[in-house]
Amino acid sequence: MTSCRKHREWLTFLGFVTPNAVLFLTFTYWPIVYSAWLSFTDWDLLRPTHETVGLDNYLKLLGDARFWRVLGNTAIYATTVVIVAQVFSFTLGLLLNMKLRGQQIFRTVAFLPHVTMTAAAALVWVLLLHPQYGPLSAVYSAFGVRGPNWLDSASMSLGALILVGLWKETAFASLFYLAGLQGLPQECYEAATIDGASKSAQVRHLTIPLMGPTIFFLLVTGTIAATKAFDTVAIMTEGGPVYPDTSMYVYHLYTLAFREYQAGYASAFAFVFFLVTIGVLILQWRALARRVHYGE
Amino acid sequence: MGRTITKLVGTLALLFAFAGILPACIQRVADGKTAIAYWRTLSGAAGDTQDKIVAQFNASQSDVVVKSEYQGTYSDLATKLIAATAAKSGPDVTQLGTFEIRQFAKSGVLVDLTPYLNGPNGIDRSEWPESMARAGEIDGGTYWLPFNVAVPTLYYNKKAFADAGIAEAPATWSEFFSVVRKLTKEDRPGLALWSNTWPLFSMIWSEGGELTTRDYANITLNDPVVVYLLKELQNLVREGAVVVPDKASGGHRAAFVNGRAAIILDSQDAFSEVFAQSNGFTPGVANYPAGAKGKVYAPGGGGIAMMSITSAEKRDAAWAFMRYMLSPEQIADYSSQSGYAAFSKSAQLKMGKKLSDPRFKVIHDALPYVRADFSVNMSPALRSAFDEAFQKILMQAADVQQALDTADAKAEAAVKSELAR
Repeated sequence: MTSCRKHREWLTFLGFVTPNAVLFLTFTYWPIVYSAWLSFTDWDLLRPTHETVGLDNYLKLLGDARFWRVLGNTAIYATTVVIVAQVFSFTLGLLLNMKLRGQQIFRTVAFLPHVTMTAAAALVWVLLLHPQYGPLSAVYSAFGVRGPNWLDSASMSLGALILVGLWKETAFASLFYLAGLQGLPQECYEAATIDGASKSAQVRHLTIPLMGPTIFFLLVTGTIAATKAFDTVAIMTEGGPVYPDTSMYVYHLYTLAFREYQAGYASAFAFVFFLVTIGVLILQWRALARRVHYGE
Repeated sequence: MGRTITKLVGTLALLFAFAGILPACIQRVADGKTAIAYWRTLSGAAGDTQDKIVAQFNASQSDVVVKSEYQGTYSDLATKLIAATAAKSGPDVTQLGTFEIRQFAKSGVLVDLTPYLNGPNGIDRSEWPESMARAGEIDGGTYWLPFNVAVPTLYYNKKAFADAGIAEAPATWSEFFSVVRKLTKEDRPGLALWSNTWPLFSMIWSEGGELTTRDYANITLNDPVVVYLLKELQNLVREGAVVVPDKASGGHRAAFVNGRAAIILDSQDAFSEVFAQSNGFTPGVANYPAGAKGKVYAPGGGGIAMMSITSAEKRDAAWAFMRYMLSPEQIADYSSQSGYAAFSKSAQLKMGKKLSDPRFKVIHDALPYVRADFSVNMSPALRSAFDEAFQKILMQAADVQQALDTADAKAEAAVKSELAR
């Protein structure tokens, strides 16, 4: 290959890669670096200047009861949504993989929550959960029970958010489980059937291990998505009814920056959150990666 | 191939350049007139009337052209102003709620209007309620002027009152609490309370309590009057006489119009919603009750401000527009159309017979008692500490004294660091 041709190939390569790289650097990596730097300042988001405050924001954060509260709420939300959604969606995936009449319709309906805009879905859930006018209240009334005030109650509002999170995540994960189940080697099941393995034994000893990569992928992506929950919180509860006791991390971070004008402190919040999420993902990786088999 | 790529890149670069330059050119010169961008909030009649005022201003002279842009709720508008400020862009004149005044002024985002107010083309504020004229003062400068002034208004269900044998709206807060109890039925509480502390300010001030001084030197969230009032409200919640409905499902207003509460404490901003949507009963309106110190009302709403991004040569034009908006004619028209208060005496005179309409009468009867002190709203630390205590007391049955002591201590420390920033 001549050097001129090599040069041309390089130019072509750069021509294709540069636009994407520039956009990524500008809109993804630069904000991360800038946010990390801001976390060492006292910027209020408005002044053109800011002073460096060293580790003050991080030290303040460790002693801030609100930080621990929203971190705890987010951990409860993410753990519940991710784990319970895997159970629901795996079961749903198995059901959707069965040969039934009208299965395409069931599959479409099952996946609808994921394609529905979160803001619209959250508003619908607000109406569904309304203690007097929501359809659920009719169910309670039928049993002569007064329905709970999901969004008014400090003890129930996190539960309401978890319910909506589960509803969305189950729909998303079930599609992946369905796709994974359809790709499983049938000869394994045929051999197991000949060996007399029951259906439940086949699920435990064949389906779950073979679905390992899908389960692992969904645990990782589900954790990332659940910890970032913002839109349902903003629309359904605005972090209430007892803020910040019933709020979540990202909503609180937004409040700090845009309502309390503490952009430097909010950046420290964001950066700690980034590190905590990475830490959780590493733990997941260490605990599960060895148990996941990728075939062959 | 190489030439094609070069042409493509060149064309894209030109398009980007034009995309950046063109709006700036349009903004600077529109038929030789100075172009002013005005960002506003409020929809419905309150929004439409602002656009009408802008159109009238544009037609009234030939030097300035104002473009009005709706930016969503007060909160959306504030977020967009923050983003615009960071990008060194944004409007020349903006509507602004009370929460942002202090922070925006201290960060240099707003223009001090004092030279304009006192200049040859100034505004005579002597006929405004004194506290309204001073509401936008920060560190000796005036950065915000009232425009859409909301006053506290009590709404009641006339049928519920008649059924309970109550002839008229309560005149004092202690009477108010007993009326709320009297109106409570098993399936309907007497009062649906706003999940926002604003109505409490009137309650506290009129009973002689204070939350803070304007300079934040003395924060008193645990003032005995505050403790007493919140204990009363907490007792009413325990008894089932008061509920605090969540915002997402319509809040206190939806509870009232659907007959699920007999009273709400709101502002005149709720007039059209309450009268148009009340289902199965006729609503009544009254002023908030008086306390030990008589009637003291905390106003709400918003005002207008000039952004410091406005270049020096455009500021006179921006001021001309602000001055037009605050002229008695426009305030009167705005009040007539939107229901907000005509807060200057000349504007009230221009409203003429309309002031005898019961709806406008309630609003304007409240004006002499208005205390436009937005100190709590203007300090995020103080506001969030008080909100948190309020929510814990009413939603989690927290010990009132303890919750307010904690809030007070928290606010003292946080406000100190807020002032130091």
